[in-house]
Amino acid sequence: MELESLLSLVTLASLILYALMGGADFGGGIWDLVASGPRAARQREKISDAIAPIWEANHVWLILIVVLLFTAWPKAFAVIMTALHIPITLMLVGIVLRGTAFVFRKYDSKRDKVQRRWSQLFGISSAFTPIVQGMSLGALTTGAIRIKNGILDTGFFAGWLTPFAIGCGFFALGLFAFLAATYLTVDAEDDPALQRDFQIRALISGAALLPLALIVFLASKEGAPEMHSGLTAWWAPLLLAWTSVSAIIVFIALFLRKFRLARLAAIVQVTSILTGWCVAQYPHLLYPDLTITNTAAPQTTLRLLAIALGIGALVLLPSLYYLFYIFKRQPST
Amino acid sequence: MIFAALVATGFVVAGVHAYYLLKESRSEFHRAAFTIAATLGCICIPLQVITGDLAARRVAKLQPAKLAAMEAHYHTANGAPLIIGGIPDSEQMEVRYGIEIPKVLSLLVGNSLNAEVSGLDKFPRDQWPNVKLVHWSFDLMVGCGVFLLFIAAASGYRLLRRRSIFQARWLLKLYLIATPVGLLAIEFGWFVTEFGRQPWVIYGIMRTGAAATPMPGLIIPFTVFTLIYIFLSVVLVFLLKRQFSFAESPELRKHHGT
Repeated sequence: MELESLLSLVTLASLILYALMGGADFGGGIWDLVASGPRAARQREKISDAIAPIWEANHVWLILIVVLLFTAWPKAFAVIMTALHIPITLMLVGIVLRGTAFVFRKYDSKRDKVQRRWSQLFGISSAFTPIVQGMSLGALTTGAIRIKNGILDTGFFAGWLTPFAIGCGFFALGLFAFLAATYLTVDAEDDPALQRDFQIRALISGAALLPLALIVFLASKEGAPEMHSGLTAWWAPLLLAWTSVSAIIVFIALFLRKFRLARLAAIVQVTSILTGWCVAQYPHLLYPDLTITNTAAPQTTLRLLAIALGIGALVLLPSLYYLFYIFKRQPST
Repeated sequence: MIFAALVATGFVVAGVHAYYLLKESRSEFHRAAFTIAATLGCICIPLQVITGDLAARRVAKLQPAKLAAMEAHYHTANGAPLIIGGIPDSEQMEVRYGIEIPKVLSLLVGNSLNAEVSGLDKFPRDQWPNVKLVHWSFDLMVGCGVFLLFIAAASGYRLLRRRSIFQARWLLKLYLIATPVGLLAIEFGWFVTEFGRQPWVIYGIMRTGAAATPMPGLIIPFTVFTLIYIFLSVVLVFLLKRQFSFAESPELRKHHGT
């Protein structure tokens, strides 16, 4: 397998892991923002407890994606970062505000109006950031961003303000909220009333995904023709099957209160969706001008990068496993 | 840079707690915090001096134009003097009003009193960095470092004589003055690095102008990021003040039985 393809697989894996872990962080913030009902305070506390030990580690995957992009495909990095400068800056602002609001809320000593402001800031930035993230990813497939003589030709505003990209943004929002809700049903195992709250939220957000996905698919006909044809290619039914079946399993499992199964199925569902998106794009990084081969760094760089990733994985993966093991295993009663 | 960061944060935290100790020298909270921070800063500053020297030697080898600008060294010479301060004049290729210490630059760079040190005259005029900026930044950085080194030495000496630092108000005042000095030293150091490398962005290969983005309107992201950093700094100060007032609050005192 060529190095470019191998590295793009690693990038896809990193994207999926970011969605599954960092995305759930954002989802937690969204539920924090709209916490309601008699148990709102307990919901917020449960979300905070779930996120607090691992949130910094979760966003490592985003950094990995960016680093992979600029090391392995520097020309693509230059164009994408310039063309999508505005949504990416907004994403950065959202991530920074969200992180600081979360930490300051947690470690600030007094419980007063200032604390509530931090909560609001945390919630709003958690809801806002997935939208611009989705918009950025969607913009890559619209074909509205073009280069001429190796330099970006279409300015700062092309691609990400199209209906398709905006649809992707809201779809990402719904996806992360849905994912977080399924995780939280498992995290709230010690509190049946709370668990029921999150069960309802998971069902609602999961159901909302269907119309959102439909909107994105319809928008892709005009807005992202390559994606549209990709979604109707030979392998598409397979991935579509994976997505649909896991979605159905999620709903059934939620109804039957088999929350661990629901969580697993939600993970499979998100993975299939992202894999589908990537495969529909392959081999383009930025449709239609940039592919993983015509923007790749020299072979030496790619080789060194692959080696570095291998060594890094040896350190990172066991550490991550250990982190989750300590903070996420259910206490034995 | 690791030691520089530890020095800077150590002295910032120590300085803040020195302020509170000058008001109330008995506070357990501030004594403990001061001790931790000051120890870190004072241990790391001599280490920083060592790594700084190693870094300068590397610069002399890899980016000799930067070293020449740092030291305002215009004319290649054996037995080159160390020039502290002064006003470099790139037209006349001389430094006015500087303090010259003979032979020391050759000693530092080449390990011998008569080693040759390349001056700016070895490079084409359009490849010279701005000597004023680089030289002054360098001297300010070293000056900050020497100041912190002195504080570390004074603290160490007092401890050797088994006298408490908390009783020496003059030393606490020095720590207070030193609060921003570590961070300033880091900033000046980065000025040296970045201004000294000009006009190159990749030394000897690519000039800075060639690397700049062609997109217009960069004043907007510049302003946005500046505002974000200002916001975060203000918030940080606000929160730290809240932390301190809580740490000194009557409820906590009762809890700790102070």
